[in-house]
Amino acid sequence: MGAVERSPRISVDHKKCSGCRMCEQICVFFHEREFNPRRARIKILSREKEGIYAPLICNQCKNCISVCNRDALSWDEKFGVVRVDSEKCNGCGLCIEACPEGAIFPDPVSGIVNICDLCNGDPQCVKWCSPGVLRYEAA
Amino acid sequence: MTEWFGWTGTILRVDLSNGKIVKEPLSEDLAYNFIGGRGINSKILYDETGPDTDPLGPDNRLMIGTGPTSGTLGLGGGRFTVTAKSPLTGILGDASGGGAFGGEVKFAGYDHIVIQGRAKKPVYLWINDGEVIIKDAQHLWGKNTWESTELIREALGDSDIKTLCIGQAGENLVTYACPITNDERAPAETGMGAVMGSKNLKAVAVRGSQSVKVANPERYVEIVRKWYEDIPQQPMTTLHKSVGAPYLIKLFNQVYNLGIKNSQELHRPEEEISQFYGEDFVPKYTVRDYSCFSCPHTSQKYVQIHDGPYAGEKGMRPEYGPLVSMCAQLGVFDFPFGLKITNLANQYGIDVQELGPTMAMAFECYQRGILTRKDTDGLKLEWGNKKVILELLKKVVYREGFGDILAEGNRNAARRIGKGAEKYAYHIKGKSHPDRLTAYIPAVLGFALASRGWDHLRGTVFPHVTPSLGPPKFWDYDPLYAKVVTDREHIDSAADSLEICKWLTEFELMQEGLGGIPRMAEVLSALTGVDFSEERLHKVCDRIYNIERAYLVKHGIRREDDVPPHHFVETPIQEGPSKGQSIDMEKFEELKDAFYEMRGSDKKTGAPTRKTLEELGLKYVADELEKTGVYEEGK
Repeated sequence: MGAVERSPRISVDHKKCSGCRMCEQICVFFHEREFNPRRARIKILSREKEGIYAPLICNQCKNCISVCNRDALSWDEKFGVVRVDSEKCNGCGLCIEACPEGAIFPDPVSGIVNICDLCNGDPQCVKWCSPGVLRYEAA
Repeated sequence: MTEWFGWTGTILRVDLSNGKIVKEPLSEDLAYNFIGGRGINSKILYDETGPDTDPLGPDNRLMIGTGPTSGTLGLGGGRFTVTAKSPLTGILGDASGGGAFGGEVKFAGYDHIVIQGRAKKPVYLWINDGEVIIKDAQHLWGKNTWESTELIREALGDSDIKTLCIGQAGENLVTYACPITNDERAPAETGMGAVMGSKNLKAVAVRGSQSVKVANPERYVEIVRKWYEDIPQQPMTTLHKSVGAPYLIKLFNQVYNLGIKNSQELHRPEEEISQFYGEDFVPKYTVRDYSCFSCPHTSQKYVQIHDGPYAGEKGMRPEYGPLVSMCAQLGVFDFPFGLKITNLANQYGIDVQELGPTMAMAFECYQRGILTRKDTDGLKLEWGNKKVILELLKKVVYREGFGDILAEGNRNAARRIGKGAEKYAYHIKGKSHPDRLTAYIPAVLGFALASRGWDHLRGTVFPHVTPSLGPPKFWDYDPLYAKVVTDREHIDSAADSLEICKWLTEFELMQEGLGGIPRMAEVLSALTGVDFSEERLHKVCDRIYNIERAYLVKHGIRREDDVPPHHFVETPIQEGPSKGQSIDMEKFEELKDAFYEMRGSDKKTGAPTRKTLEELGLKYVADELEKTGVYEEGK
């Protein structure tokens, strides 16, 4: 999958994550202008008692595109991201099951799925991640 | 219907006696005049409970209040306040919690939850957005907060459910039991866990999927961004980030102000206790940084003990307060033990800042022969005896034998012990605190006037967080401090009502104007779309102060109750730079005069005057106070 290596992506140094979830919050703010972590395109997996936090985020592998039987997912060459067609997606969840990163999330408000779009080349979660867990590696 | 921004616009009311669940619209009057969190909780407490309300009876209200910032970005988005009439003090009880619970309540669609009545059998409340169910909790009764949370999440099939849960201490009505959220975040003060226990309410479990809408999102995010850009410029930030509040142990030891053995000692030689300094143990045991929901401030640490008798113990690094309460005040200087006992307290759901001082009072009584092994079920209450401390904790939680007495809290336990024990119980209005007498008088004034008893988060000014006042003058009773304390009270009540963490207001942004009223007014305006000027927010804070004060007055609290713990006055400091000093009550009372005058309170009784209350739109409160006869007393 040579194409994957060339794509811009967000890399994760999960050991530094303090579980603050500012990434989730700013993600939803950028896309929806409101606050609701359930609508985020990134999720912090928490095991609070063990002090473990792991950000789940799309690595642009494109697996999801191939499993969608409604033709709702497509590859955006310009930004190197997966796009969700809100008209076609019915939130069936096949892509969620196929995602090796666990990084596709059902949106409880819109009823479709949310996938990271790298904020069109300027990922906000990276900007607001104060412990430096997330880094943007442009192509 | 109002379109709400910042607020959700709904109050959830649950009556556990008859199972009635009502979703009530939030009124503009309540929102604009009391904001949320502590403010609205205190207003409802004033309106719906009184001197006839038994704190552990079905008529008491248990309120969970979020604020306009709860659920939003960056200012302590998980915070919330739990309020009820306190079974520990018999007056206003409230406690603020961090973690993520407050945000989740907002996402479920509620600003406040008001619970009354008493379930016939143990229950928990399951709030899943609009769906609210009272569920059986008999299988959880007897289980600790960690086990219960896990069982609830398993049963409901969602590991992201947030809980506010009591342990065995709350079930057994220990008067300073507290609920726990996120495993170790405790809205700890004044016994809110016992109120839950008295209602047979094991837990409140919440999951929400709704959005919190903001009136001016761009402006709001810009303010938050600026807020975070200011923090690293502050002089204490590096220490806060690397060590957190336990840096105070070293500082206080150096200035002879560390409470040791029920505050009989104030200092230990550095070589003896340096392993108990935050600067030593935090780097040694830290595994990673930890933050509450939607707050990048990382003074919290996740720690793990690698060796020694507590090897394997892990969890969130206890703060200064729990460590001094459960260690230094009992003659222990051992961080791994501090972690062990704090973890246990979080599992049982008990406030260590009342437990430690209560145990310390008992230990001093034992030292002085007021208590003997005959009274303590054979336990030798010897300073530094960790095994005894652990055993006594369990006895308190289960109200076994001597533990049943200590379960009543410091003041009431000392009364029950009798034989002069009260001389060694240090509290204000029935609430204890681990601190020792401080040389900084505005801090003592804040302690004495705080509306829930001895408290450092409600109008208390410390020199190291207020550099803008200039170099601190110790043992100084300048009338100017009346204004300083009032200003700080306003910062604190605004923070408690917007639900912004105090690390982000007074502790981190020390220079007034950064984390103070002007910026909070901007935040509130951007969030809600309601124009809150500084003046308008100050007025809200005044209103909160006065309705809380009126609640205290209704319960018989008067000027003479606004005093420091008696040892601050009666026991001069024995060593160090303040040797021979104690509180000069004559000067302190003069300072109080200035404070009551500033507050528009009657100097003789400390009660808010009719004029003050009417100016704040609280005529009905003045009418009620009139009926208590307090205005006659003032003449």
